[in-house]
Amino acid sequence: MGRQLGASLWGASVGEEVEAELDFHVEMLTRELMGSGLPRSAAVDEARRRFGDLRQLSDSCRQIGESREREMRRSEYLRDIMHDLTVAARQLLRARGFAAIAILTLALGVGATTAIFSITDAVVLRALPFPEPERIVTLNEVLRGQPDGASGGDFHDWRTRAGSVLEHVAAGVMQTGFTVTGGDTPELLGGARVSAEFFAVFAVPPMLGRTFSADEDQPGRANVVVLSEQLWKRRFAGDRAALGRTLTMNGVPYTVIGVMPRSFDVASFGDELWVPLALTAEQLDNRRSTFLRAVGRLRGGVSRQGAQSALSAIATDDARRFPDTNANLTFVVNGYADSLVGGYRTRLLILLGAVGLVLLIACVNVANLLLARGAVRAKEFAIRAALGAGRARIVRQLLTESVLLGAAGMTIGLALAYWLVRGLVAISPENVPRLDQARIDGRVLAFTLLVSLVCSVLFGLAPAIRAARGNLEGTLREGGRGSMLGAGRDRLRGLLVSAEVALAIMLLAGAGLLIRSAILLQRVAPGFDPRGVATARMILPDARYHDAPRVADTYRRIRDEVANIPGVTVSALSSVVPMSGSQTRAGIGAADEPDEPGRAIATNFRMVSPRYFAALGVPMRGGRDFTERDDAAAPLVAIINESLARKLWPGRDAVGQQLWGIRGAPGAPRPKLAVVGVVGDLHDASLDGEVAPEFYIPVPQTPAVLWTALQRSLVIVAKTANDASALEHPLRKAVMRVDPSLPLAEVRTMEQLLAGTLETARFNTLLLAALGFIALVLASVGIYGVISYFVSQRTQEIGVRMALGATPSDVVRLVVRRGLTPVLIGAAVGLVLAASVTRVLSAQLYRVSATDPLTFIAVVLALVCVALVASYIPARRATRVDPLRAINVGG
Amino acid sequence: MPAKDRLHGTLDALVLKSLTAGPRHGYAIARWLRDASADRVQVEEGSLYPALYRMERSQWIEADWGMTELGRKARFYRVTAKGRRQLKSETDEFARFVAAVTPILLPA
Repeated sequence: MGRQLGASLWGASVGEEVEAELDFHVEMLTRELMGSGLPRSAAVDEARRRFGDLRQLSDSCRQIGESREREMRRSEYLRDIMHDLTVAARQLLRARGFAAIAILTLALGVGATTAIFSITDAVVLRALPFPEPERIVTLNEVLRGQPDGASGGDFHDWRTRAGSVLEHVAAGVMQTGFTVTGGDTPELLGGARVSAEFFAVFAVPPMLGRTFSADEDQPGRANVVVLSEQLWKRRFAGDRAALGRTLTMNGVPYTVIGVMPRSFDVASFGDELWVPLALTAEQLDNRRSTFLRAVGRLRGGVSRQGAQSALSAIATDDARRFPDTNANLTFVVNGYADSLVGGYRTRLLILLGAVGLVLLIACVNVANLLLARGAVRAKEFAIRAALGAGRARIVRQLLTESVLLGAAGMTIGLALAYWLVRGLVAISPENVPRLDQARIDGRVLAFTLLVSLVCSVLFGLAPAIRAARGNLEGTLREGGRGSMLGAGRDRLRGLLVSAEVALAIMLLAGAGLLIRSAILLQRVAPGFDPRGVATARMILPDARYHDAPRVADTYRRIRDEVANIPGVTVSALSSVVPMSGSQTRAGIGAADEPDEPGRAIATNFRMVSPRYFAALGVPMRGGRDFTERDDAAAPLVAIINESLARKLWPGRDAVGQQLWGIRGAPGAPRPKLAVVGVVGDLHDASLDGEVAPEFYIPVPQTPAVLWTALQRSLVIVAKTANDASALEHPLRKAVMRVDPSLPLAEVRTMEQLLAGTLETARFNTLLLAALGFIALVLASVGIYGVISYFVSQRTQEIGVRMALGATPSDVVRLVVRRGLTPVLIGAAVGLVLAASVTRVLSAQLYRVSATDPLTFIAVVLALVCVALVASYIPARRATRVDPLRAINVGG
Repeated sequence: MPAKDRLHGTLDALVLKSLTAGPRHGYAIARWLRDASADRVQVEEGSLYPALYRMERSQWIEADWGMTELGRKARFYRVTAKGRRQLKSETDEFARFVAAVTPILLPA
């Protein structure tokens, strides 16, 4: 008390106090000296002399005094905070239900939003693991609006003539079939053949050794290989001496020259090893076969548009120089990141919107809870204010409570986010790019934490400020009791419930539409019967299988061996199976019209054995299946699907017509193929896509050039009456009986392949459905909170009504009506908003309109049901009010 | 002032001791020390005040503005419980020191 009195009454700074104190001493000393006989002036001089340098003395005293004050203020401050925290914790413990709901709401808001945003960020927004990734572009030729890879000629032109805009240009082709022998078992590795500048395009140096030189990117000198870090560790146990060692692939020795670090993630260009592309002069001159994929690195300061106009100029020039191949060709430059992310971008941005909605709902919820609680405590604040507690003190206490609440919610939310990211990564499909790199994003976490903290502080303080400013007497008299009539104060809370319901409806409508699409998609007939079908790819190495008859013969023997496996009812072969993610395409046309490049239709094709259609259950619509007699020596034949038949010979029977087939060699004349059969359409790439035109040729009639391009690779298609997944081992043994060095790759059942195409969409739907569910939970919590508050505030009135003869069902009706009004308003607003917002989903929907009435009705019903339950529980509690006690409470 | 150097280390103890009888202002402390030692101990004001502020910061003493008998405002110092403990430990220390050096410097 004394210290405070002194300091506050005096109101002086430390410096002034020191001056005053020293002055006093000097004066006392002067008097003492005068008392011993000195004259006043001499006495003053003597007194000052004894003090030495008075200025310096007062300075050092002031410094010590000031640091003392600082220390004191700090410890006092800490003590106050500790006190506030203790009180706040006690308050929250007392209101356990309120605290738990608010904390969980915040945790859900922070956790779900952070987790889902982090995943979005990893897949879409995070920069690629390359220096200046925005400089990496893909280069494609475009034929009649369709981007279609690059030919050797295109690549040659870009490399030699686009140097002003592109620092590096590289081309590559994925190659799944590198059969490595020399170990215990033959191993089939996936990689790519890439041109020398490939690594320079991505600007990632090898972690060990070197990459190819331009010299090695030449036919005949290309027997060098760069390994991925993973392969190096697996095959060479991470031994640095691997450099210079030999790896025998497809029967040919390759020298290991370098290792690329794990961060070099170019999944679309092979992931285990890279060998030189080594295009021949002939290939570099070819402007027809677009089997290459090209990437480039923009020169510093060159924009994508700049590169585009340079390439367009080259395209115009090429169209003039090579009219028969390049007449309708343009070139297009795209960002490499865009090509990777593709369809995910829209999906993830939609998810992001949904995540934002959830965060908003969580905030609205917390706001509502805090406002309700603030209203309950209005009396407490009024009393404290009346007892002399400063407004600042009350506000600070409430602020502490809000911050404590927010901190608890955030801590749990953080844990939830961590767990959700791991969980979502674990259940996600394999082929979502970079998903495995998803980590909780610091910026997002900071953002969601900030939003929820601001929300809890803002709405936690609002009632305190209102209480501190408001009419003390009125609050005390009313005692926070209120009546049914004085409902104006509840308007804000009702509004918040409406807002929350509207947001939840939007989210649920979106999720509902996607779920309905997924169900419809599930029912799409794929055009084939996946049940009991196993598939496995084989690749015959070049070294031992270079002549076409030998290849065809080996495959025939393999097919016979597979047919002998017990339980296998049909054994067939195909170059590509549906839903496997790869396609082979050629431009073909009807042979009754002249063979001009402009007339060709881009058509999927497959080489298949007899009985392939039987194995997949694809119906023959006319003509016949291939037979063993359709061999290399027989007339060339083809089977086409109904789509192609309709396209080439509309209204006519396609069987007996002729097609322009695939050239046996570049520049050779196109052969004519006789159409001997028509088969049913089937979904090839995905269930939601259009059915593409397609033609099939018999395996033995495969042109030699195709065997090379496809690496003499075919897929076994075996139909069994039993479990297809049990076929893997028998298939391996059957193939080993023909050639023990042949590995099997991509062993899958057709059912797995079919499910695989649905997985990404399902993952997306799952995320949105999860968010919708969270929104539903949050909304019901919000409704429950408001109705509970309503009931607790009206205990007395309900008691009076019951004493006056109201039945329990009257009370329930009253309370539930009260709860449903804002819900119904919110639902109506939500429906209107949803109808305008779900349009962004259109591209993701399958045979469902963006304003599908069934979905919208279901969503509203679900929400109203939840709202009913959420308000029924407190309403039931209200009926258990003891009238006598209720009246007493108020009295 | 022959006692000056040794006095420096024990200044804190002397000031604390001077306050055990009751609150005093700085001038009174200096006066009391001079009187109690019969003019043998002279505390320089230049050392006294920094010592006072230091001890206040260490919470051995507390200061308060009050009135002198002459009706002047002055800053009065009072020893705290912590200050008393400090005085005790310094006194004990001093006693031990004296006990240790006495037989050497002043053999009986």
